Amino acid sequence: MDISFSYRTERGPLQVLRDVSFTVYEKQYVSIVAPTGTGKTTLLRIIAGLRKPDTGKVILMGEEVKGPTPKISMIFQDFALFPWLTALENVEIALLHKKLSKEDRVKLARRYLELVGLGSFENYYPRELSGGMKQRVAIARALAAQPILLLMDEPFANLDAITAEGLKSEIYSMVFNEESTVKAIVMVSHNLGEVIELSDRVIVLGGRPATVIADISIDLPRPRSPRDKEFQEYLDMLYSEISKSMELTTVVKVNGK
Amino acid sequence: MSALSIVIISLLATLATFARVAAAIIASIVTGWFLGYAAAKNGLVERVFLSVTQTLEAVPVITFFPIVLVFFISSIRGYLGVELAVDFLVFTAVVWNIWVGEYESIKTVSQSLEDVANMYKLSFTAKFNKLYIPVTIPRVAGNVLVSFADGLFYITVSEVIALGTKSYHVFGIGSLIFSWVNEGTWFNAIAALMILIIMVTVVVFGILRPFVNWAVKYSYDPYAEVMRTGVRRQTPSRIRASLARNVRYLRRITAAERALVPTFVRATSYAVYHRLTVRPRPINVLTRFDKYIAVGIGSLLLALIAYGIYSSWSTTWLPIMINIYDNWGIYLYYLGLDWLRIVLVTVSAILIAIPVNYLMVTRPRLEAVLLPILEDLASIPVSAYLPLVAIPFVTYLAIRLGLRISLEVLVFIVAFLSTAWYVIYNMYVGMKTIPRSLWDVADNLNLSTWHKLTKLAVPGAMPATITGLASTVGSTWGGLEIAEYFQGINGKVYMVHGYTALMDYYTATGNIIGLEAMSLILAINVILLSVFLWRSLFTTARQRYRMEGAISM
Repeated sequence: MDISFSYRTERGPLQVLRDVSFTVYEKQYVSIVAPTGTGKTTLLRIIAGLRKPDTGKVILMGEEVKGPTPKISMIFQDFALFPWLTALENVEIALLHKKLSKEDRVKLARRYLELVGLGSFENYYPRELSGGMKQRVAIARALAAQPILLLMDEPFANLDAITAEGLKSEIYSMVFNEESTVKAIVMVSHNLGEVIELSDRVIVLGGRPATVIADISIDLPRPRSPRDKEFQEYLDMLYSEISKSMELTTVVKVNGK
Repeated sequence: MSALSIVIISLLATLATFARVAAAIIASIVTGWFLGYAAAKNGLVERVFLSVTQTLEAVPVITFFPIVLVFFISSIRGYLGVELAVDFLVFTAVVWNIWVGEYESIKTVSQSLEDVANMYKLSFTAKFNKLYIPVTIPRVAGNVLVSFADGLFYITVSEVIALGTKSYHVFGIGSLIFSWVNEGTWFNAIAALMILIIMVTVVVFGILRPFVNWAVKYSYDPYAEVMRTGVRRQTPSRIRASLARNVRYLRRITAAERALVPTFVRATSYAVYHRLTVRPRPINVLTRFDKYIAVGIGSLLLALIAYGIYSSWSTTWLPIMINIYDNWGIYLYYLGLDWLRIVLVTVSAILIAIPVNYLMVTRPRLEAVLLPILEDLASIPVSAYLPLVAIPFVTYLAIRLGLRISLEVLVFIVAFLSTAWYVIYNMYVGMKTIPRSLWDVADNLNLSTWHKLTKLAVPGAMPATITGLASTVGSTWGGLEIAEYFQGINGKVYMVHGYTALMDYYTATGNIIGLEAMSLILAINVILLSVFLWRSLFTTARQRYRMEGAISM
């Protein structure tokens, strides 16, 4: 993967990403961290094929991603559940492209709802579910599409701290198990603690336009605890990388003037 | 005529009238989905769509009706031509709000929902059914009640129209009441009016309110608080299941509503709130060349509409120009008079709306009683009961005050009645959307009622009031048009000095050239206003008074 991207604005193009390139391997949980406004979400949307990069391409198992595909499924910060559809119908959305019979579709959707622990809530509307339950529905939908790559855009940002903890402890087993087709996860986050808790690898973006400025492997046994000394060391390391990336942004701005 | 047959005829006539309004509303909704989608997705279509709708939205349709009528009658003869003319008029009265609402809903659809639809490869139809149509529902619900009231107002006037010596009418409640009043069969006219009122109430409470309540579930608010829930049982059939679900959902929503917020207001609030607070996505970026093309196409479309109407029966513009040249003084004088009336009516409506709304917002009990009444009253068209309201003004009051003053008062009252509801609603929405915490602060600081009004309630209500002003003025034009010139129960025609009165007079005497000239002046007037006044007012209202995170509905 080697990506550059600019926004077309009224004032002319504004480049946000330049030559961002990395490879994600099987069974890897990769996190992307960067200061706000760096283009993390844009990068995820490019990987998902929802936006076209100016240059470069996204390769998924040897094939170029040319547009949105269910093979790459995404989980959103705002859950992105259709408010007029029930939990079950929301999961079914991911199966519509498969030309299944209605019965098979419902059966499959139900199985994924059970997988995330919401078996008895299939007829509830998103409005009637708590934030954590909503995100579980979204996870069920993303898994139901039977993707190879799972993208997560700040999946825990809109949950209260306790709910988020619960979901974080479960997400790994929900996604990487026999029923799931997911081979790798790419998550965007600005919560460094959660990044270290969950990821195998952390990629730090920085500068304007943004480039990859660090690629750190996290070698800690799971489950991880923020109280461990090593956890804290990783945290310090990440903080210093991030502040370096911020300096980079400022320098570029000054030079720009 | 027996009492039963009066009731049956009135009922049928009301149904015919309602059918026209319903058809116009449904046609607007369905066409709006496609047009709104096209405009939201294509920059070129968007520019054309915006310029055309923004201009036509502020046009007082009723004043152009005679010309529309002539166009339809000359191209399609007979009853069908008149029927189509009436239908077209109602369509133009209800369509703009609905179209703009649908466009804005599709334009501001959540990016992540759209991403989901793309990611899972939803077909075009599936995208429409699951995403773009549902997303427009709350705004449609917000506009449908206003559209219903507007449509009824215009249709009851347009069912009967006299052009020169000829009189055209279609079967409906407006023409029925008109003819019974003309014949002097009082009892019948009043009975028909009663039936109209009952039917309006039935439609508002039986169909429209449930619709609006149901539409709530279509609003996208991912961070909404969780609602009271109960355990569901499995229901056998699919349709029954979804029906039962909706009913239960409805019940739960109504149960969860803390205060009794009347539906009309909730719906309107949603529309206004959505317009004010949803961060608009920037209009698609276009190159300068594309912009010129869009402006070109937009103007061309408007010109074509105008030309299509005029050319159908006028071979040359020369007589019109001569007419304007000869009479411009009187036209402008009358136009000025009508604007004076409009300003008076609007200002007094605002002045009355302030205390009424303040009382309603601060006293929930009063609100619970008053709002449903206002809702229902707003939907009963003044045009239907004008002949009855006018009676004291041309008899008793005419003798006491002098006919001229008495008619002037009548015009004011009718114009006020056709406007005030909308002003009250718009402002109510504004005051209601002021965050609770600000009211608490005001109480906490022990502000006097006067200070609460001037520092909080009135400025807080500004954006909603201003945003509604353009369409409010449209309704005032409608009120003027019916009241400035009307036929009394004794068959006599009464008129005051005014622009719409003169247009009505020209219509009645068949002075088509004069009518054309006046329509042209009015059209220019409306376009100038929309370009120079309304747009800048809207922008100011949005930017200066916008309140973030105001209400949850």
